[in-house]
Amino acid sequence: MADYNDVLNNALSEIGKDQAQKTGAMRFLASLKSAMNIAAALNVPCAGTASMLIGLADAGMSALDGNGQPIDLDKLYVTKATDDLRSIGVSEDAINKILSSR
Amino acid sequence: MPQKTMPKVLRASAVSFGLLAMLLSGCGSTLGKAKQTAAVSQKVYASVEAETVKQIAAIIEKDRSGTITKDDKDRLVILNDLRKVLDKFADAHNAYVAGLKVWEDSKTKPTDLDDLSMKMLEIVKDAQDLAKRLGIRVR
Repeated sequence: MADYNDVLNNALSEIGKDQAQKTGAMRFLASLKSAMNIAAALNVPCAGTASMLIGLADAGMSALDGNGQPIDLDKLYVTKATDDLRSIGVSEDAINKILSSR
Repeated sequence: MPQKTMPKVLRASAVSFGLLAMLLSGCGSTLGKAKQTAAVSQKVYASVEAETVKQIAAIIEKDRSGTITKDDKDRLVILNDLRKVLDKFADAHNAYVAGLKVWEDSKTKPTDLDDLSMKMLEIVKDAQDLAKRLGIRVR
């Protein structure tokens, strides 16, 4: 599997040369996705990780590219992990109870 | 903990938060760039947060059914740390988006926006430190 730290370092060097931050980030994501696709194709042990990274790279590229559409700030708010857990019946108490039983 | 057995969400978060750090370090120069950074932030956060919630919920369910293992409990420690970092990030992200709204509406950049992006950067570093503590090599 390509070491993604190398990919990250290469991308950071690339961005260091490039004043256009978006272009640098796009290149980073493209190189990351390419490396992870290779890993997935080779069926290496970390292929599960690779598939998640490919998903994140796609999401990041999509957000940066934007398909020419204006970004609606009202759609950029997020919910906390704790609130999402609570909404499906998982409280902090339940987590802490398990942690204290270790 | 060996890297091979690392929950995939944590390795993914290390890389994607690294990307966010790159973007945040220079995001405030124009409203357009700042909005793009917020969009990437949202996408990365949503991906990592959804996986974190899913994995925590699965472990809680195993606890309820009496099938939880020591490995599950060890993993929950890591996931719980990540949950706390994600909560802090969500607060900072939402404040940042609110600041961008002010910038967009008033055509004037809020004075505390750069402080907010620095705060987000600090939280990203927390996430990177967490990953490092787990043996993930990140820059």
